[in-house]
Formats: sequence, structure tokens, C-alpha cells
Amino acid sequence: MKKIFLGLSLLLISCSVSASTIDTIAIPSAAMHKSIKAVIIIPDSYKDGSKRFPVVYLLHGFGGAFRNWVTKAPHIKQLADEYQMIIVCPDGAIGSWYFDSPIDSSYKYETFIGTEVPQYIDANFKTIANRRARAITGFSMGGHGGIFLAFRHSELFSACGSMSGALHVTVINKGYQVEQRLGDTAINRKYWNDWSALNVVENNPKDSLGIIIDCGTEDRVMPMNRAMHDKLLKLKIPHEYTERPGNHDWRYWNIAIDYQLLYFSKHFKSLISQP
Amino acid sequence: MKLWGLFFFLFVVSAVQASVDSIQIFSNSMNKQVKVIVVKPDRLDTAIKLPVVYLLHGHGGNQEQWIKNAPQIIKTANSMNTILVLPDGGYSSWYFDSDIDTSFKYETFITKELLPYIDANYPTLNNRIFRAITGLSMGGHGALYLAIKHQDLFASAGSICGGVDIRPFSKSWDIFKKLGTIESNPSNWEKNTVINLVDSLKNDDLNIIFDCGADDFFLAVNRALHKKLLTKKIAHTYTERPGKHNADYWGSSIDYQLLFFKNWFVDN
Repeated sequence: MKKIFLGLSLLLISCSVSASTIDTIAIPSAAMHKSIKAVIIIPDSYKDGSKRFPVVYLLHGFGGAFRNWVTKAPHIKQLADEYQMIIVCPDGAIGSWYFDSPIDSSYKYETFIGTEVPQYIDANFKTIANRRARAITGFSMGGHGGIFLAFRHSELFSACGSMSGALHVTVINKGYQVEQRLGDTAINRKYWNDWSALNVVENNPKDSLGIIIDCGTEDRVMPMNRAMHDKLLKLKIPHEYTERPGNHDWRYWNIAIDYQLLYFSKHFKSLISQP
Repeated sequence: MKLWGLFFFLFVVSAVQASVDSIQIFSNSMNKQVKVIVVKPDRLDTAIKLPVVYLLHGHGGNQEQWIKNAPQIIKTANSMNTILVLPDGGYSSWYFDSDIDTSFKYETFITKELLPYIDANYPTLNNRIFRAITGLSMGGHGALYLAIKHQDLFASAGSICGGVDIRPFSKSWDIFKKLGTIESNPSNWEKNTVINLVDSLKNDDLNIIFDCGADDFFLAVNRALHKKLLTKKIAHTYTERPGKHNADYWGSSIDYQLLFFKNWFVDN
């Protein structure tokens, strides 16, 4: 009987198989004087007409690249169809931390993803070009990026998320390139504080963002996530917070992304239907 | 096999609305008819066996509460290809077999009367792996209570803003009419509150999800349960999200819980 259900499920999946299309695009960055790659997933009904779609920007972790999400969690292709959304996975370099580096002008990833990428996507694809239809999330370094960018660019994003986010760069040890981006001097220490997502939510408080944060109970970044949950509660910033079984790995992110995209789908529906 | 695939393709494409049965089941233990709503995927084929999720209502509610507060679950039953069963659990039964008021035997009703009826009359995967139970408020308590006590029947359980520890609420919602007052029957309260029942649980006995609103009066007991399960290293998914103890909250939360059960069914 188990097999019958499994068989049916597979049929359901294969029937809906991926009408969505995947492209690799190169997005010009004026700030960095180069083009940077991104994966874009376009839902099945995109080609049908003039319909416009909300966009979720999906960031990778430290040591990763733009292809990570679609190769390690390929079912996001089906989710783009199910929720009728465009998914964009931009490259954030091995360890940009999605910052504009104050010491290295070749790293302007806050400008790139917080401004240039959404502008390019809106200019070249049938998006709903409005903050109400834009969300940003990611895992680990990308979870930090999701919160950091949305709080500092809430004119562009109405929702943000973090999966297993390394949400407090101030306490991140050497080896993750934070010191190469922010500068390892006493004076530059202020960036480590001011640009840590845990402090950004306090320095740029927002109650106009939908926020979803989760972490695995076996993950070493769990204390940062609990600290963020406590801080947001203290600041009375509404947010969703989940702890579930899991570690800092793709098995976990394959689960977490389902709930994050469901959340954004509901968020878009509730906002887009507003006048 | 190709035709078979085409058949299902047509089935999926044309299936836009599930159908809803309103039935009555006679409870021998309570000697009365109990109303139940069954939401089934459209064009149910009796050759294909499906998983079942039982959804329990809250205090003061009845079998219609879930449909009223979360009408989208009818579509979800279709998209997750699962039967949803919404029993009337009584105005304030707390899903107990009460030894104080013996006209309340809702634990017996759900586990020994309703389940066999559903498995006999609908194309279910009659197996604990493909049976989940969740509920809101009183029903969140009820779902965890019944699943922990009847692990032979349920592999997955959830609670949405549930009264997962009833002891702080000993004067409220007629719980004392089912268990006796906490002063005269303290042991009845100790052995029937979910937060104590988890003492008997081992990791992976049950696939557990529960959540609560940040402004809900049940938040503290849900946090206490989360903390206890972490200490006991019992795997579970726990969420706090914006919201109060109201229909907006559980009408939205159910979407995440049904996704959780769907992923479990597909993975198994």
C-alpha cells in the first residue's frame, strides 16, 4: 500500500515536472565593474502572457556560489511552479558576506544585491516591481545577508528570511573572511558591530517586514539564532521563528526552504491583494 | 503504464476542488451519534490508498470549525492527496474518557470508533505511518494526548496553540468537570497533561510539530514543552509566530502543519 501511495506521489511529481525553466544569466554590476552570474528560475505559466510574478532572492552560504541552490535543492524548481514565483540565486562570492567592503572596493555586494540585481531583474523579466512582491532569504552567510539586506533596503524588500543564519558576524572566528571584508583593525571593529545582522535589526528597526528565521537544533549557529529571536521579541518586531531537528547542511536546507517559500507565498498573497 | 500515467495526469489537471462529506457515526461507548466531516480529494479512486490527517477543534467548537476558519484546507486535501477527518469532539471534552462524567468518552470514540470507521469506509492507508493528528487549542492538547497514548495508531502529531499543559488552567473551560478539581484529584491532572505524558516518549517515537502565537496565553506552556523536549533530546519542530489565540492564527498555521505531514508521507 505504501508503494501505491509512493507511486502516485511520483506520478504527481512527474506530471508536474518541471515546467519551470532555469537560466544562467550575467548581471552587470556598475559598482564592481564586472558582470556576476545568477541562476533564475521562471515558473511554468510565465510564457503564457502578460502575467507578472513576485520574486524571491535566494542567497548561498560561505564558500558557495550561485548554482548551489538549484543543484543541491533541485525541488525549488517545482516550488517556483507551485507558488507561481520567480526565484533568483545571485552569486555572492566565496565570502562577500553581502557587504560593501570598506577596505576592498572590489567587494560591493550590498550595492549589487540590494540595488543592482533587483533593478536588473525588474528591467528584464515580468516581475511585480514592488517591494510587496520581493523577498530575500538564504542560509548561513546568506541568512545573514537576507536579514542584513532587507533591513537596510526595506524600500525594496517586504519580507526576509534566514535559514541556519550566521547572524552575528561579531563573534565569527577567522577563517570565514569577515576580517578580509571588514578590516581587522581596532577602528574597523565598528563595522563588525554595526553590520552584524543581530545589531542591524536594532539600528534599523522595522515592523514593515515579514520575517522568517529558522535553525536546526544540532547546528552550531543555534545560539546566534536564539539571540536574534530574543532580540526581535524584545524589540517587538513580529517574526516567525522555528527550531527543528537538523544540522548545518543541505539535508536541513532542503527542508527549511519548503517552509520559507510557503511563508513568502502567503506573504505575497496577503500584500498583493491589498489596494 | 503509459495510459496509467495519462490517467493520473488528467486526474491531476482536472482536480481543482476536493469534496466534503458530512456524516454521522454512532458511538457505542457514548450511545449517541457524533458528527464528522470528511474532506477527500476529488475523484477519489478506491484502488488508490491515501494517508489521513485528523484535525481536532478547540473548546466551544465543533466539526465545522476547521472548515470555517481554514477553508483553504479543502484545496490542500487535493494538492497533498490526503483525506482530512474533522470530528465533533464535544464542546469541552478535552478529548478525554472522563471518569467524573462518564458520558464523555472521546478518547475511545476517536481511537476505537472513528478510526476503524474511516479505515473501513474510505480508501485509507491503514497504517500509523500514514496517519497524523493535529488540532487547535483544546484540540492541540487532544492531538498530542491521543498520539502519545496511541502510538500504534499515529506516527505524526501536531498542536497549534495547544493547551499542552492544562494544570495552570484548572479553573477554566470545564476541564475540571472532566478530571475533577485539581484540589480533589491532583493525580488526574498530573497524568493527563501533555507535558507530563512526554516523560514516556523516546526520540523518534513520534514525528512532532507544534507552534504558538507570540501573544497567545498558551505561549508559556508551549515554550515549556519545547524546552522539555530539547532537554530530553526528543526531535520536534517548534515555531513561534506573530499572533494571538484566534482564527487568523490557526487558520494560517495549519498550512505549515499540513506541509509538514505531506513531506513525511512522501518521504515514507
